[in-house]
Amino acid sequence: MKKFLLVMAALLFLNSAAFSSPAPFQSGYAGVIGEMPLSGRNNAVRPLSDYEPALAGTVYDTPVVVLGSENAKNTCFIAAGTHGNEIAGILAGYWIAENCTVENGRLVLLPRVNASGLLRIEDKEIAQRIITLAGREFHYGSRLTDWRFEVAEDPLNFIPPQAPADFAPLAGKEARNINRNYPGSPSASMTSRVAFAVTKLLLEIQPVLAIDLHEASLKSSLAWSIITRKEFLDEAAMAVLDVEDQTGVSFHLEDSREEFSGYSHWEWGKLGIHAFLVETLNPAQPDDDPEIDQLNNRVSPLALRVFVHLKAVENLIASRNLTLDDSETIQVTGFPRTIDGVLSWLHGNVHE
Amino acid sequence: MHMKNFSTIGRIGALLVIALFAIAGASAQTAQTANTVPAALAGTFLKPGFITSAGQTSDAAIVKVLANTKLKLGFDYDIMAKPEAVAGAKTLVLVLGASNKGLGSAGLSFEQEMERVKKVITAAQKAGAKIISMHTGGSSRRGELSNAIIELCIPVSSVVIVVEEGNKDGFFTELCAKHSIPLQVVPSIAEAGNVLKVLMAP
Ligand SMILES: [Zn+2]
Repeated sequence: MKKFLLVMAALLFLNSAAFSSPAPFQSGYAGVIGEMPLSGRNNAVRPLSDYEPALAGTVYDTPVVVLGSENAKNTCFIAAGTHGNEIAGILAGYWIAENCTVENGRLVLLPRVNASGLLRIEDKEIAQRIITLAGREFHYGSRLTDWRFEVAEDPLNFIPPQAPADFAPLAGKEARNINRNYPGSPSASMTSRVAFAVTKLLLEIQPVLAIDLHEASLKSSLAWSIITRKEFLDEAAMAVLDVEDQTGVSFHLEDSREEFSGYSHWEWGKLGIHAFLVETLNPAQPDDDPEIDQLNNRVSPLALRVFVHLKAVENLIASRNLTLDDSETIQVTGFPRTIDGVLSWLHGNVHE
Repeated sequence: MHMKNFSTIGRIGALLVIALFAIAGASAQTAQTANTVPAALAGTFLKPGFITSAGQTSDAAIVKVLANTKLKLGFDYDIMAKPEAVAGAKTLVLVLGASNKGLGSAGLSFEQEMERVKKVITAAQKAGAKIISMHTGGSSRRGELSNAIIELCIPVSSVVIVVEEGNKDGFFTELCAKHSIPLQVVPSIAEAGNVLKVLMAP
């Protein structure tokens, strides 16, 4: 088996040009737009490459959706799809793009931060996986960014850019994990440039709140949790209680520290942004087992995960609003009232 | 607002309960509510109250927000309280759960945290305070370290409140039975708060 893999790897290496050419998309931006329902009520969609030109036209470029007023005082930033296999967050982002209206303030949304992970390029021998939802093709993608167009091979090991001196090195492939690369750099890998573009976007829009939607495996202590820096725990705690009230799901809280170097919420928090990492439970992780039925899984069905993500976003906004001036709160309508609304949406029926 | 969501909560709650039972079997104790708090315990815990963690779990922040912001119970709070801080309290709430992340950010080793909790318990007992242990973090707060913390705190508690997801294996049921400590197993964090409210003297 090992020998076979080595031969395969060698063949892939020799034929890397041929292997990459039949890719169904070369622009990450177009790939995400192709599967994202947009209601037309949104103010604007622009490419992330506006903030880092090196991403333009590559698999790493991705749409930035802006809802609400460009002149609003307060902005909420929402990221999803940093890990392309954590699909509930991506679908929650698509729900927001399709169904939410911003009545006051502004919402800036990246539904697939890792656009290149739309395809399963991580496990080179596994075909890409598509889940058909409401007649639309939705990609169960990969955790890491696309290795085929990176500037260099993965290093032997990887240390996040602002990690402390005693940080234990990560596996080399984590160099292609956007969520270990913040704040990113314009002169490093393509993955690092994606992180850099997000950081530049944040510096421009100055959000008062940032939420990064993820999923974790049953074995991970992070499943069903909200993780944030110590200074924002109370804000998260309020949201945890309201999410439980509205969904029946009880999150636990984790407070963050240097061990989270390179993670979105940790590094964004250094910019003064109230930043939260939200994790639901994806029953197919950590191996992305294709045999797991995402829609009907008994322990953690997709509709529940999407519903809980949306309620987490809604309640984190409500929690953040408590310390904003009344006239400057962020008001978003169109979140689902019940899980049935999400179920209908996933199955293509008319929803609430 | 609450009424609107009621059917959803019931449905998802039922779904989760079914799912949990499918994994765990039916060894855990049936969930109770604030209405089932024994009369002998209701209203017997005096103010001032103090909330701290046992194990540095950030879930203590949830209990604090629930008790103080939502239920207006007016507890003092310090996730890593020193023994002196709890000496004036008549009720000590320990939020149970070891979190490596929490311990790391507090700059404490697990052994140091065990020592701190022991000293806090001793200080509370000396001051004549009664102890309520709460566990809200579910199965992710049931690892080896969490279990050691739980085993330390249960025997000194006057009552234990556990959100049922953390008692799927009946760990709390057995431990409380062994030490004859009253146990309230509740379906949600919110209900844990309601139990706490009923326990507190008005
Ligand atoms: Zn993730």
